[in-house]
Amino acid sequence: MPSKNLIELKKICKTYHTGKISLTALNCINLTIKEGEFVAIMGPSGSGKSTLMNILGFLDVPSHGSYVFEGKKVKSFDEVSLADIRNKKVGFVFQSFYLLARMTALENVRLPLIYGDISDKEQVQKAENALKITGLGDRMEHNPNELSGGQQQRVAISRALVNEPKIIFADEPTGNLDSKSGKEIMEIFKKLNRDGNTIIMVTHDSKVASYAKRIIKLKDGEIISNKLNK
Amino acid sequence: MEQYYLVIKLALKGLLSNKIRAFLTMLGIIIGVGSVISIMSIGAGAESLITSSIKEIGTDVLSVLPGKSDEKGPPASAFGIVITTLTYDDAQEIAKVPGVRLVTSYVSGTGDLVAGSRSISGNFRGVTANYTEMENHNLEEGRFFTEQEERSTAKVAVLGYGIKKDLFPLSNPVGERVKINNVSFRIIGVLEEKGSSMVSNPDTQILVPLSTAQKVLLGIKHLNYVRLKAESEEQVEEVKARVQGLLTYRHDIKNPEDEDFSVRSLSQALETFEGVTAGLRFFLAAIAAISLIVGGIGITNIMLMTVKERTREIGLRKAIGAKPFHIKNQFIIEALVLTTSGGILGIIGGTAFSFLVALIVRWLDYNWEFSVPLSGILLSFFISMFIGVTFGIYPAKKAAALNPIDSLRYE
Repeated sequence: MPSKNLIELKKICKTYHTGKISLTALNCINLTIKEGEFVAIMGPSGSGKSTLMNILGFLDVPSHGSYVFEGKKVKSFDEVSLADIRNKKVGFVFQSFYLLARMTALENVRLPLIYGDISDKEQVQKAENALKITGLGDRMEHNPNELSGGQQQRVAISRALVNEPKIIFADEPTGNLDSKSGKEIMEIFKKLNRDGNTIIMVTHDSKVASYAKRIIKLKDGEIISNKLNK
Repeated sequence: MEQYYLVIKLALKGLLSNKIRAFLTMLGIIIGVGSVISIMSIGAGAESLITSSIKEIGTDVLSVLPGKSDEKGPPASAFGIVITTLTYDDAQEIAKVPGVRLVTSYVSGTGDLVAGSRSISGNFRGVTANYTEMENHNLEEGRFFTEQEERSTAKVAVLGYGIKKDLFPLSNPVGERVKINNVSFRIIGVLEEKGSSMVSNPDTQILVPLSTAQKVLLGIKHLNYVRLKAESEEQVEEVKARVQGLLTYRHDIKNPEDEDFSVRSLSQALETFEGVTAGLRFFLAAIAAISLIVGGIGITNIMLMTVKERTREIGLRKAIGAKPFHIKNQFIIEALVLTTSGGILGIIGGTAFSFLVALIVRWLDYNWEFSVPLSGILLSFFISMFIGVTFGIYPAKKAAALNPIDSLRYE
């Protein structure tokens, strides 16, 4: 059964202007991602992979081109509607976790939901479920500084899952972890993907990329390779 | 709503995790709000003192003081200036003025009071025999001296309640003797306990006949002041004008500039006192205004620092879907938590300060009611929150305008 297209990028360009110098980060990218895919975006630094992820993740807006998400063209890239899409459709996992130090694991996971519109009870329930999925059901009341790096990243993954997003973005999710914890985290992503979650991951590590089903390579703002993994 | 509960909880956690920084940040607000509370409390206390004094003395009383004085300023005698122009003859003429019901003359001095083995230094007053009627002051024991005794320079004395307690703590002093500056007096009565008015404390005085005080104790011919009662309250102003006219004539004064006396009603004396407390209140109001502005700027400053320190947090919150107004509200609420906490500490501090003032004033034997008006507390809360919003809005707007990508990358 062929899956629906979740993301369609057509001729997406991004140019940064700093003073008199213009820098092209993305040069007319065409890309389609289907529901349920696990895609790794690879490339050396400056290749435009972060820019691509920021645009895909509604953190940044393209200079030109069209972005169709869930069959609908993303027209108005104004701040409030982008925030709303990020809140309801997208989950992020960052290299350095970005957990709020003064909050417990549960509160951190719950954070996206407080900007939404569901009841308090439901928020706590969803946050607890999300922590159980990543195996942290017994660490809910711990503060980040009481958790190991791997555990912190699992809290961050739970936070990305909590709003049941259409797509999860991971930016070098193992970059700050030792190899054992990194492996565990990648197994979690693999399992999440098996359960039907769409995942887009940016990495420069080919071992990490090998967990993905498709690998896209970027260089100088252009896609130089786009292949299924094995 | 829940998100704001979390914000408040986090802000409080943040405050408690750095108590000294929090305290220093809030200091301006604490002092400002403390001053506001003190203003209100001291105002209420002064009012209670004034109303109780009015009740006690009555509004039909006029005082005649020697020496010209500014209508609202304190009398010359308050500065220790001795003016000898007011005499007993003046008082007797004043008694003849139509509308005057009662005239009492006063002199006063200080001296050593000795009874048996006990000795204190205290104030004595020479008064005319109608003192008790003038002051509405009754006797606890014995009797007051008569006009006969006053005319005959009798060496008799009536003790204020406080003096009695000091010199004769256990026994009834009537019939005993007391020495004032080595002159022996027979005690004929003790006055009831009265408490202080604003002008003096009758409990800590010993009363002797006017003539005795003038001739035997002080060796003077003039009076310190004269009090008179009008026949009715409505006549007070009329009587005042007549007494002024009489004294102007008797003292042969051609030019009003050269007046050597002043006639004051009780309300003027109260205005003098109100002037003093108004001065104190104005001073506190100035402190309040300055501290609150400085405190508010401190809040802006600390909130700008907080926004900078937490740029990545702001970036993250935006990445997971916080809209600009969420971020703005978060930082305004944090500023509000700061200023309201400062306000609460200020209310506590101001209450403590006002209580201390009340203790001191009461220790001076005045009827000062300590109270912190509810309106003062509400006003303080309002001011604290107003400052939180006013001085928190700029940093909050700055935070709300941050771009999520740059903020996340901020080191």
